[in-house]
Amino acid sequence: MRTAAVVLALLLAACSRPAGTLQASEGWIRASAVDGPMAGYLSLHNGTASDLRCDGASGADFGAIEIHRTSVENGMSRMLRDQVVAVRAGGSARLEPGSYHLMLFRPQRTLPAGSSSRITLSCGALSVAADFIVKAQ
Amino acid sequence: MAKAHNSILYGFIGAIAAVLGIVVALQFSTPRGTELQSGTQLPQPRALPAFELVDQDAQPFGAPQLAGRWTLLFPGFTYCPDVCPTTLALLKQVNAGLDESLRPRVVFLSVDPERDTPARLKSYVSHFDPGFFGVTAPEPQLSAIARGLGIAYAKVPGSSPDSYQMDHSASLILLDPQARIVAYFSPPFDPAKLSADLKAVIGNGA
Repeated sequence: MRTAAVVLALLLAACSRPAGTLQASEGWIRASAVDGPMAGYLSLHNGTASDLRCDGASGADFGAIEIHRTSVENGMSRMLRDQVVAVRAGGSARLEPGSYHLMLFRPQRTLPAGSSSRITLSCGALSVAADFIVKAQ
Repeated sequence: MAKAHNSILYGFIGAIAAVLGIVVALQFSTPRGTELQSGTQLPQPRALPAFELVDQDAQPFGAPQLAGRWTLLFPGFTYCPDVCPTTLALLKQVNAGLDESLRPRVVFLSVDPERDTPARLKSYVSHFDPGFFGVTAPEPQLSAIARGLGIAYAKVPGSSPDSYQMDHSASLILLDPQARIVAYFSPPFDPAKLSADLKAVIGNGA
């Protein structure tokens, strides 16, 4: 009986606190006037007890998605491919202009400002999907 | 003994000469420009070698097209979806805060002529501001103007042959109405600082 109560309490705790998950928010994509790759940005929050490494992404609207990072070294602006975004347990990470971003190759449809696109990020055993809003600039 | 003295003397002279040499070299190699908040103003405007680019309307673009107005030149390419749009959006913001007399024309110099056709350049830059202007040039004209401007670029292979990227100088270059280099600006760019620098340099030189 006592065990059942504890189990119930734990189940209730689990239901009322969805924090033990990986969450994605503020996803956006910069609209482009020309064909070619686009860039996507978002915030990640790791509510789990484990450190996470996000190293992949996919979405039906793009031929391929890679995680890239812009870096300025010795006055040169460079694009570094195949990057990993580390999100510590309980911590957050941001993909933002001029730094880490999702490189969205071969858009499969026109994505005007105001439209949105669903992208799934893979972080080891976990994944998280988010709707990215397309913004003009 | 005298021999030993001589060698010490020569060694001493040699050491002084070496130190003097370094001092002189430093004098000549250190750019003594004026420090700006987001870059450096050259001690003297530097003329560009003769060059010919192609503009976004497929017309020739050279020194005559730069004459008579200030230009802020930004090297980049249109398959750059992160830093190039971010910088162009920032330049739109900077220009919006400047009086018309102090507002340079933003010219986007593509270092990727293989993919950036004039029409493509025009669509790309006018998305940010109809006043922005795109130019490029085939090789070897592109590398010649890049040398003259003091900028570098390099092709970096991607996961497929058409997804290559270009590494390129992250600087903005300010040209005066005589098409001479006046200042270089380096990232990270802050709109307020860049705006203050443009006001100071263009305001003084206009």
